[in-house]
Amino acid sequence: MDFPYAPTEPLVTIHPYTLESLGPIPGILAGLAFRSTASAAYPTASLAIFVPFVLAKPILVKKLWCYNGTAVSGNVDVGIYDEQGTRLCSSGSTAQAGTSTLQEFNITDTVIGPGLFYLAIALDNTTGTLFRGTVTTVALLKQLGMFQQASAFALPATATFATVANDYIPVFGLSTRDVI
Amino acid sequence: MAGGADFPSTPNRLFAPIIIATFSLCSVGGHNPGGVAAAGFSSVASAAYPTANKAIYVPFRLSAPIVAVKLFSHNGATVSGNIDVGIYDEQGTRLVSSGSIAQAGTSVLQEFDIADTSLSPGLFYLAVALDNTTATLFRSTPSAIFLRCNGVAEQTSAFALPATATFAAMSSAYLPFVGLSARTLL
Repeated sequence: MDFPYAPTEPLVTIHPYTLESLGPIPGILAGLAFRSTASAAYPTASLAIFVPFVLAKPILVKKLWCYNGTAVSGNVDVGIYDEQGTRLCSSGSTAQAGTSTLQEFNITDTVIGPGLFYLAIALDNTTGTLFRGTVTTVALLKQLGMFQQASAFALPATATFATVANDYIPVFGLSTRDVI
Repeated sequence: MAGGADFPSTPNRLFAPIIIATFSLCSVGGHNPGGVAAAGFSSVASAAYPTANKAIYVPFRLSAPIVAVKLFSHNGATVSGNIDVGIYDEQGTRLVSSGSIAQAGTSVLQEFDIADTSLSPGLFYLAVALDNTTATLFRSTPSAIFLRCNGVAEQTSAFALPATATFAAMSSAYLPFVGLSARTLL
Protein backbone atom coordinates (compact mmCIF):
# COMPACT_ATOMS: atom_id res chain seq x y z
CA MET A 1 0.00 0.00 0.00
CA ASP A 2 1.23 3.48 -0.81
CA PHE A 3 1.30 5.85 2.11
CA PRO A 4 -0.02 8.32 2.36
CA TYR A 5 -2.91 7.16 0.23
CA ALA A 6 -5.71 9.45 -0.83
CA PRO A 7 -9.22 8.07 -0.75
CA THR A 8 -11.23 10.37 -2.91
CA GLU A 9 -13.61 11.24 -0.13
CA PRO A 10 -12.20 11.90 3.32
CA LEU A 11 -14.14 10.88 6.38
CA VAL A 12 -14.83 13.24 9.26
CA THR A 13 -11.42 12.93 10.87
CA ILE A 14 -7.88 12.45 9.68
CA HIS A 15 -5.13 11.20 11.99
CA PRO A 16 -1.93 9.21 11.60
CA TYR A 17 -3.79 5.91 11.47
CA THR A 18 -6.24 6.84 8.73
CA LEU A 19 -5.90 5.87 5.09
CA GLU A 20 -5.01 9.45 4.17
CA SER A 21 -1.95 9.22 6.44
CA LEU A 22 0.11 6.27 7.66
CA GLY A 23 -2.99 4.10 7.81
CA PRO A 24 -2.61 0.54 8.94
CA ILE A 25 1.10 0.32 8.14
CA PRO A 26 2.46 0.96 11.65
CA GLY A 27 0.22 -1.73 12.97
CA ILE A 28 1.28 -4.16 10.30
CA LEU A 29 4.95 -3.39 10.87
CA ALA A 30 4.78 -3.64 14.62
CA GLY A 31 2.08 -6.22 14.95
CA LEU A 32 0.06 -3.59 16.67
CA ALA A 33 -3.18 -1.86 15.86
CA PHE A 34 -4.52 1.59 16.54
CA ARG A 35 -6.41 0.20 19.47
CA SER A 36 -3.14 -0.94 20.97
CA THR A 37 -1.73 2.54 21.26
CA ALA A 38 -0.85 3.40 24.82
CA SER A 39 -0.14 6.42 26.95
CA ALA A 40 3.50 7.43 26.95
CA ALA A 41 5.51 10.45 27.93
CA TYR A 42 6.38 12.86 25.16
CA PRO A 43 9.85 11.88 24.01
CA THR A 44 11.63 15.26 23.98
CA ALA A 45 10.57 18.66 25.25
CA SER A 46 9.77 21.13 22.46
CA LEU A 47 10.16 18.50 19.76
CA ALA A 48 7.75 18.91 16.85
CA ILE A 49 6.56 15.70 15.17
CA PHE A 50 5.25 15.88 11.61
CA VAL A 51 3.05 13.15 10.12
CA PRO A 52 2.20 13.29 6.40
CA PHE A 53 -1.26 12.96 4.94
CA VAL A 54 -2.76 13.54 1.52
CA LEU A 55 -6.06 14.92 0.30
CA ALA A 56 -7.65 14.25 -3.05
CA LYS A 57 -10.06 17.16 -2.61
CA PRO A 58 -10.41 20.28 -0.46
CA ILE A 59 -11.74 19.97 3.06
CA LEU A 60 -12.72 22.52 5.69
CA VAL A 61 -10.83 21.91 8.91
CA LYS A 62 -12.84 23.03 11.92
CA LYS A 63 -10.98 21.54 14.84
CA LEU A 64 -7.70 19.96 15.79
CA TRP A 65 -7.38 17.45 18.59
CA CYS A 66 -5.00 15.19 20.47
CA TYR A 67 -5.55 12.11 22.60
CA ASN A 68 -4.00 12.90 25.96
CA GLY A 69 -2.54 10.13 28.04
CA THR A 70 -2.69 9.41 31.73
CA ALA A 71 -0.71 12.50 32.73
CA VAL A 72 -0.93 16.04 31.42
CA SER A 73 1.59 18.77 31.91
CA GLY A 74 2.71 22.02 30.44
CA ASN A 75 1.54 23.10 27.01
CA VAL A 76 0.72 21.51 23.69
CA ASP A 77 0.50 22.92 20.18
CA VAL A 78 -1.19 21.15 17.24
CA GLY A 79 -1.12 22.34 13.66
CA ILE A 80 -1.19 21.63 9.95
CA TYR A 81 1.60 22.37 7.50
CA ASP A 82 1.74 22.29 3.73
CA GLU A 83 4.26 20.30 1.74
CA GLN A 84 6.76 23.13 1.77
CA GLY A 85 6.61 23.40 5.56
CA THR A 86 4.44 26.48 5.83
CA ARG A 87 2.13 26.44 8.82
CA LEU A 88 -1.48 26.76 7.66
CA CYS A 89 -3.21 26.69 11.02
CA SER A 90 -2.50 25.76 14.60
CA SER A 91 -3.96 25.80 18.07
CA GLY A 92 -1.10 27.84 19.43
CA SER A 93 0.44 27.03 22.80
CA THR A 94 -2.37 25.70 24.98
CA ALA A 95 -2.25 24.16 28.43
CA GLN A 96 -2.50 20.40 28.10
CA ALA A 97 -5.71 19.42 29.88
CA GLY A 98 -7.77 16.30 30.44
CA THR A 99 -6.25 12.90 31.04
CA SER A 100 -7.04 9.85 28.93
CA THR A 101 -9.38 11.81 26.72
CA LEU A 102 -9.47 13.91 23.59
CA GLN A 103 -8.42 17.51 23.95
CA GLU A 104 -10.05 19.65 21.29
CA PHE A 105 -8.73 22.88 19.82
CA ASN A 106 -11.15 25.20 18.10
CA ILE A 107 -9.26 26.87 15.27
CA THR A 108 -10.19 29.33 12.58
CA ASP A 109 -11.94 27.24 9.95
CA THR A 110 -9.33 26.55 7.29
CA VAL A 111 -9.73 25.09 3.82
CA ILE A 112 -6.91 22.78 2.79
CA GLY A 113 -6.33 20.44 -0.11
CA PRO A 114 -5.88 18.79 -2.43
CA GLY A 115 -2.25 17.89 -1.89
CA LEU A 116 0.30 16.69 0.64
CA PHE A 117 0.21 18.08 4.15
CA TYR A 118 1.60 17.38 7.58
CA LEU A 119 -0.17 17.06 10.91
CA ALA A 120 2.14 18.54 13.52
CA ILE A 121 2.28 18.40 17.30
CA ALA A 122 4.69 19.58 19.96
CA LEU A 123 4.75 19.56 23.76
CA ASP A 124 7.02 21.75 25.85
CA ASN A 125 7.91 19.06 28.39
CA THR A 126 8.39 15.31 28.84
CA THR A 127 5.98 14.86 31.74
CA GLY A 128 2.94 15.31 29.54
CA THR A 129 1.73 12.14 27.84
CA LEU A 130 -0.13 11.27 24.67
CA PHE A 131 -1.56 8.04 23.40
CA ARG A 132 0.84 6.84 20.76
CA GLY A 133 1.83 3.86 18.69
CA THR A 134 5.29 2.59 17.97
CA VAL A 135 7.03 0.54 15.33
CA THR A 136 9.99 -1.75 15.76
CA THR A 137 12.63 0.63 14.47
CA VAL A 138 12.83 4.34 13.80
CA ALA A 139 14.11 3.63 10.30
CA LEU A 140 10.58 2.46 9.51
CA LEU A 141 9.20 5.86 10.44
CA LYS A 142 11.54 7.45 7.93
CA GLN A 143 10.05 5.19 5.30
CA LEU A 144 6.60 6.32 6.39
CA GLY A 145 7.49 9.92 5.61
CA MET A 146 7.53 11.36 9.13
CA PHE A 147 9.71 14.30 10.09
CA GLN A 148 10.65 16.05 13.28
CA GLN A 149 12.13 19.37 14.37
CA ALA A 150 13.89 20.05 17.63
CA SER A 151 13.38 23.23 19.63
CA ALA A 152 10.08 23.83 17.85
CA PHE A 153 7.67 24.90 20.57
CA ALA A 154 5.43 26.68 19.85
CA LEU A 155 5.09 25.30 16.31
CA PRO A 156 7.04 27.59 14.00
CA ALA A 157 5.58 29.50 11.07
CA THR A 158 7.96 27.60 8.82
CA ALA A 159 9.08 24.08 9.59
CA THR A 160 12.63 22.93 9.17
CA PHE A 161 12.10 19.26 8.57
CA ALA A 162 14.67 16.92 10.04
CA THR A 163 15.05 13.16 10.08
CA VAL A 164 12.71 11.50 12.52
CA ALA A 165 14.56 10.03 15.49
CA ASN A 166 11.88 8.98 17.98
CA ASP A 167 9.69 5.91 17.74
CA TYR A 168 6.54 7.77 18.69
CA ILE A 169 3.43 8.11 16.51
CA PRO A 170 1.01 10.27 18.49
CA VAL A 171 -2.73 9.96 18.19
CA PHE A 172 -3.87 13.40 17.11
CA GLY A 173 -5.58 14.91 14.15
CA LEU A 174 -8.12 17.13 12.52
CA SER A 175 -11.89 17.18 12.25
CA THR A 176 -14.17 18.63 9.61
CA ARG A 177 -17.05 18.56 12.08
CA ASP A 178 -17.48 20.68 15.20
CA VAL A 179 -18.42 17.64 17.25
CA ILE A 180 -15.60 15.14 17.68
CA MET B 1 -16.64 -11.08 5.70
CA ALA B 2 -13.41 -11.67 7.62
CA GLY B 3 -11.24 -8.62 7.29
CA GLY B 4 -14.18 -6.30 6.94
CA ALA B 5 -13.59 -5.59 3.26
CA ASP B 6 -16.10 -3.97 1.01
CA PHE B 7 -17.22 -6.18 -1.82
CA PRO B 8 -15.45 -4.88 -3.85
CA SER B 9 -13.18 -2.55 -1.87
CA THR B 10 -13.48 0.99 -2.97
CA PRO B 11 -11.84 3.76 -1.11
CA ASN B 12 -10.35 5.20 -4.26
CA ARG B 13 -11.80 3.27 -7.15
CA LEU B 14 -14.36 4.61 -9.55
CA PHE B 15 -16.76 1.76 -9.11
CA ALA B 16 -19.18 1.28 -6.34
CA PRO B 17 -19.19 -1.26 -3.54
CA ILE B 18 -22.08 -3.63 -3.33
CA ILE B 19 -22.35 -3.65 0.44
CA ILE B 20 -21.15 -1.09 2.96
CA ALA B 21 -21.06 -2.03 6.61
CA THR B 22 -19.76 -0.04 9.53
CA PHE B 23 -16.53 -2.06 9.46
CA SER B 24 -16.01 -1.58 5.71
CA LEU B 25 -13.03 0.14 4.17
CA CYS B 26 -15.44 2.88 3.16
CA SER B 27 -16.38 3.35 6.77
CA VAL B 28 -14.60 3.07 10.11
CA GLY B 29 -12.81 -0.02 8.93
CA GLY B 30 -11.07 2.10 6.34
CA HIS B 31 -9.64 4.39 8.96
CA ASN B 32 -7.57 1.73 10.52
CA PRO B 33 -8.42 -1.69 9.25
CA GLY B 34 -5.95 -3.31 11.56
CA GLY B 35 -7.37 -1.44 14.46
CA VAL B 36 -10.97 -2.23 13.83
CA ALA B 37 -10.15 -5.77 12.92
CA ALA B 38 -8.00 -6.32 15.93
CA ALA B 39 -10.58 -4.75 18.15
CA GLY B 40 -13.50 -6.22 16.38
CA PHE B 41 -13.07 -9.52 14.74
CA SER B 42 -11.51 -11.14 17.69
CA SER B 43 -14.21 -9.71 19.91
CA VAL B 44 -17.21 -9.43 17.65
CA ALA B 45 -20.13 -10.60 19.70
CA SER B 46 -23.76 -10.08 20.43
CA ALA B 47 -24.30 -7.41 23.04
CA ALA B 48 -27.17 -5.43 24.42
CA TYR B 49 -27.78 -2.05 22.87
CA PRO B 50 -26.12 0.45 25.19
CA THR B 51 -28.90 3.01 25.70
CA ALA B 52 -32.55 2.98 24.78
CA ASN B 53 -33.45 5.48 22.03
CA LYS B 54 -29.83 6.38 21.35
CA ALA B 55 -28.92 6.85 17.71
CA ILE B 56 -25.41 5.92 16.63
CA TYR B 57 -24.03 7.55 13.48
CA VAL B 58 -21.10 5.91 11.68
CA PRO B 59 -19.50 7.81 8.77
CA PHE B 60 -18.82 6.24 5.41
CA ARG B 61 -17.52 7.61 2.13
CA LEU B 62 -18.40 7.00 -1.51
CA SER B 63 -16.09 7.65 -4.44
CA ALA B 64 -18.68 6.57 -6.98
CA PRO B 65 -22.48 6.79 -7.00
CA ILE B 66 -24.56 3.88 -5.81
CA VAL B 67 -28.21 3.14 -5.32
CA ALA B 68 -29.00 1.81 -1.86
CA VAL B 69 -31.83 -0.67 -2.12
CA LYS B 70 -31.69 -2.26 1.32
CA LEU B 71 -30.48 -1.60 4.82
CA PHE B 72 -29.61 -4.29 7.31
CA SER B 73 -28.70 -4.92 10.92
CA HIS B 74 -26.77 -7.86 12.30
CA ASN B 75 -29.04 -8.88 15.15
CA GLY B 76 -27.63 -10.57 18.21
CA ALA B 77 -28.78 -13.44 20.36
CA THR B 78 -31.80 -11.55 21.72
CA VAL B 79 -34.26 -9.37 19.88
CA SER B 80 -36.67 -6.99 21.50
CA GLY B 81 -38.66 -3.91 20.77
CA ASN B 82 -38.10 -1.88 17.65
CA ILE B 83 -35.18 -0.84 15.48
CA ASP B 84 -34.65 1.91 12.97
CA VAL B 85 -31.76 1.99 10.46
CA GLY B 86 -31.04 4.88 8.11
CA ILE B 87 -28.65 6.89 5.99
CA TYR B 88 -27.80 10.54 6.59
CA ASP B 89 -25.86 13.03 4.52
CA GLU B 90 -22.85 14.96 5.76
CA GLN B 91 -24.98 17.77 7.14
CA GLY B 92 -27.10 15.36 9.16
CA THR B 93 -30.16 15.24 6.96
CA ARG B 94 -31.86 11.88 6.88
CA LEU B 95 -31.97 10.57 3.33
CA VAL B 96 -33.75 7.30 3.92
CA SER B 97 -34.61 4.98 6.78
CA SER B 98 -36.44 1.82 7.56
CA GLY B 99 -38.65 3.55 10.08
CA SER B 100 -39.50 1.90 13.39
CA ILE B 101 -39.73 -1.84 12.80
CA ALA B 102 -39.97 -4.73 15.23
CA GLN B 103 -36.54 -6.27 15.67
CA ALA B 104 -36.78 -9.83 14.44
CA GLY B 105 -34.48 -12.78 13.87
CA THR B 106 -31.69 -13.70 16.25
CA SER B 107 -28.07 -13.96 15.14
CA VAL B 108 -28.94 -13.15 11.55
CA LEU B 109 -29.08 -10.14 9.29
CA GLN B 110 -32.41 -8.40 9.46
CA GLU B 111 -33.10 -6.77 6.13
CA PHE B 112 -35.06 -3.60 5.59
CA ASP B 113 -36.44 -2.90 2.15
CA ILE B 114 -36.25 0.85 1.56
CA ALA B 115 -37.13 3.18 -1.26
CA ASP B 116 -34.24 2.92 -3.68
CA THR B 117 -32.00 5.86 -2.82
CA SER B 118 -29.31 7.27 -5.05
CA LEU B 119 -26.16 8.36 -3.23
CA SER B 120 -23.61 10.52 -5.01
CA PRO B 121 -19.89 10.56 -4.10
CA GLY B 122 -19.39 12.13 -0.72
CA LEU B 123 -19.57 11.62 3.02
CA PHE B 124 -22.56 9.97 4.65
CA TYR B 125 -23.57 8.29 7.88
CA LEU B 126 -25.07 4.90 8.59
CA ALA B 127 -27.42 5.31 11.53
CA VAL B 128 -29.13 2.91 13.89
CA ALA B 129 -31.33 3.30 16.94
CA LEU B 130 -33.19 0.85 19.15
CA ASP B 131 -35.89 1.69 21.65
CA ASN B 132 -34.70 -0.61 24.44
CA THR B 133 -31.62 -2.19 25.99
CA THR B 134 -32.82 -5.79 25.95
CA ALA B 135 -32.28 -5.98 22.22
CA THR B 136 -28.86 -7.01 21.02
CA LEU B 137 -26.76 -6.40 17.92
CA PHE B 138 -23.48 -7.86 16.85
CA ARG B 139 -20.89 -5.24 17.55
CA SER B 140 -17.21 -4.68 18.12
CA THR B 141 -15.87 -2.80 21.10
CA PRO B 142 -13.43 -0.10 20.20
CA SER B 143 -13.36 2.46 22.97
CA ALA B 144 -15.66 5.45 22.75
CA ILE B 145 -12.60 7.63 22.27
CA PHE B 146 -11.43 5.42 19.42
CA LEU B 147 -14.83 5.82 17.83
CA ARG B 148 -14.73 9.59 18.32
CA CYS B 149 -11.28 9.68 16.70
CA ASN B 150 -12.92 8.06 13.69
CA GLY B 151 -15.93 10.32 13.38
CA VAL B 152 -18.59 8.18 15.03
CA ALA B 153 -21.24 10.27 16.79
CA GLU B 154 -24.42 9.70 18.78
CA GLN B 155 -27.67 11.38 19.70
CA THR B 156 -29.83 10.55 22.69
CA SER B 157 -33.63 10.46 22.63
CA ALA B 158 -33.46 9.79 18.90
CA PHE B 159 -35.89 6.97 18.28
CA ALA B 160 -37.27 6.84 15.68
CA LEU B 161 -34.34 8.32 13.75
CA PRO B 162 -34.91 12.05 13.41
CA ALA B 163 -35.20 13.93 10.15
CA THR B 164 -32.18 15.96 11.17
CA ALA B 165 -29.38 14.58 13.29
CA THR B 166 -27.88 16.52 16.15
CA PHE B 167 -24.45 15.02 16.53
CA ALA B 168 -22.98 14.56 19.98
CA ALA B 169 -19.75 13.02 21.17
CA MET B 170 -19.87 9.23 21.14
CA SER B 171 -19.95 7.86 24.66
CA SER B 172 -20.37 4.10 24.18
CA ALA B 173 -17.75 1.52 23.28
CA TYR B 174 -20.11 0.03 20.76
CA LEU B 175 -19.67 -0.15 16.98
CA PRO B 176 -22.90 -1.77 15.76
CA PHE B 177 -22.81 -3.89 12.67
CA VAL B 178 -25.33 -2.33 10.33
CA GLY B 179 -25.12 -1.40 6.70
CA LEU B 180 -26.56 -0.87 3.29
CA SER B 181 -26.75 -2.95 0.17
CA ALA B 182 -26.85 -1.96 -3.48
CA ARG B 183 -28.12 -5.41 -4.22
CA THR B 184 -31.49 -6.84 -3.28
CA LEU B 185 -30.06 -10.23 -2.38
CA LEU B 186 -27.94 -10.16 0.77
